[in-house]
Amino acid sequence: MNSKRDFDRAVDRWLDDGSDATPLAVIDAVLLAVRRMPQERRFWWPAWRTNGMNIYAKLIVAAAAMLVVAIGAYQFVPGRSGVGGTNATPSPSPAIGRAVPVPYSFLGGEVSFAAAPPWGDTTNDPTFTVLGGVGRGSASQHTMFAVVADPLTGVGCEAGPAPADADALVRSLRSNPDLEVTAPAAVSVGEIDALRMDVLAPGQPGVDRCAAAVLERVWLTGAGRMRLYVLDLPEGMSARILAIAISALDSEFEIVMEAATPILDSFEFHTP
Amino acid sequence: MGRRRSNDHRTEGLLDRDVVERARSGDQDAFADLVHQISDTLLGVARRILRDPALAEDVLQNALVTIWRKLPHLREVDRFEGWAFRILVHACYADAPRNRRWASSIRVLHADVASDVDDIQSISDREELEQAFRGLPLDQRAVFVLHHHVGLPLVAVAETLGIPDGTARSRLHYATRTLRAAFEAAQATQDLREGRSA
Repeated sequence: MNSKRDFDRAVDRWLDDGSDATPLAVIDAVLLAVRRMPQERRFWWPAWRTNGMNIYAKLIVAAAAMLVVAIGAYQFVPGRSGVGGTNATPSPSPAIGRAVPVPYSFLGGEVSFAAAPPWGDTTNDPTFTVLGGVGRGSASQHTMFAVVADPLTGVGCEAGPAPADADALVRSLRSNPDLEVTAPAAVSVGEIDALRMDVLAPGQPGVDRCAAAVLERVWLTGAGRMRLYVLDLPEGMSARILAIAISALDSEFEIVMEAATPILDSFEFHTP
Repeated sequence: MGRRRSNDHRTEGLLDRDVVERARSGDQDAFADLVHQISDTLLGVARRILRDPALAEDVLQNALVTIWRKLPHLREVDRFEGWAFRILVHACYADAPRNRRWASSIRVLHADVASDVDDIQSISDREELEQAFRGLPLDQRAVFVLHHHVGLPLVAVAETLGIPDGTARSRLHYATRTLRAAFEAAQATQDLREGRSA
């Protein structure tokens, strides 16, 4: 069947259609605006200031900065008279210095959970929410906390059949030859019985889009690991099965799981 | 598909590093050079995401001014192109909803291209692709265009847009699935027509 090749060719032709030459009027308007508009200034502290300095100068600057911070902090030591001293009282607010969890509503409010920054949503649909943003540096690009209602298994780029319940979904996942799925362990999410398992795609080290589909919309990336929670939703809810998939690079997995635990603990189910 | 195209799209690092550095330092002439180097590529991306040439030009204009204003914040000059794509895509997101009603859904077909059955099929395919693409959310369109038109690998698309890799994959998957369904529908319709005329 050559339909994939035909499709690729048709998309290429369609994308190549038309001219991309920028009209001179657009360029003129930009350059005119630029002449009148100053650039934003960079913060004072990045590398530019230290680039030309030798190591001794950098040490002196660092020591001076630490001294300033230390003197400032000393002013606020409890029991010391002066600014911020004995009069300073501990803040009753638990939010200060701690990220405040953001509430998320899923399935039209039937499921709720909360995630504190740096977790942030990248997809927030009623039946498919993805949070990301946790991990060190560029590794955070591979982090995903996905919540999926009535998940379908993924086989390559195609969606598999709809499973009858959580057990059937787990069986289907475990029969996928591309995936290595640990035996499911009985756990609880939001006081509902759930199955937890870890998923690896050992034969798929690359980053091909459909190489390691775990669920229809949830992939494992190269060198990634996923912890999957699957549960049957209570009778009367608008979906039957809920999957929570947390994936990260192997090297980041424990850190990400630690950051994901408060989210898992916050799940609540509100039966209509 | 999914490759870096070999025509006029520049790869990361082919931009003149010195020009980017001078523009970052506030040199307006250098920025003018930079605009001449990147504007066609950026316009191509905006045009394909928005499917509206006039709106794409407005968005490009806004994006280029934003790039000028924020250039001093760019830490790594070598990452300029990806950084510029990100600003452009965000400008598309910002401007498109306001102008959604204006976006024309009519596309002019050149009469001279529909000379035989293959050309008619090609036009039909493109029309179906166009309609299907217009129905996609902007975030899916952006991933599709950066991957298939610019030729960025998905990991680079994710990095450029500041989204997780899995999200980029998911968006591309949906976009591709939608377009493929539209394409197959066009093919099926054409097959039926040919069957009737035979």
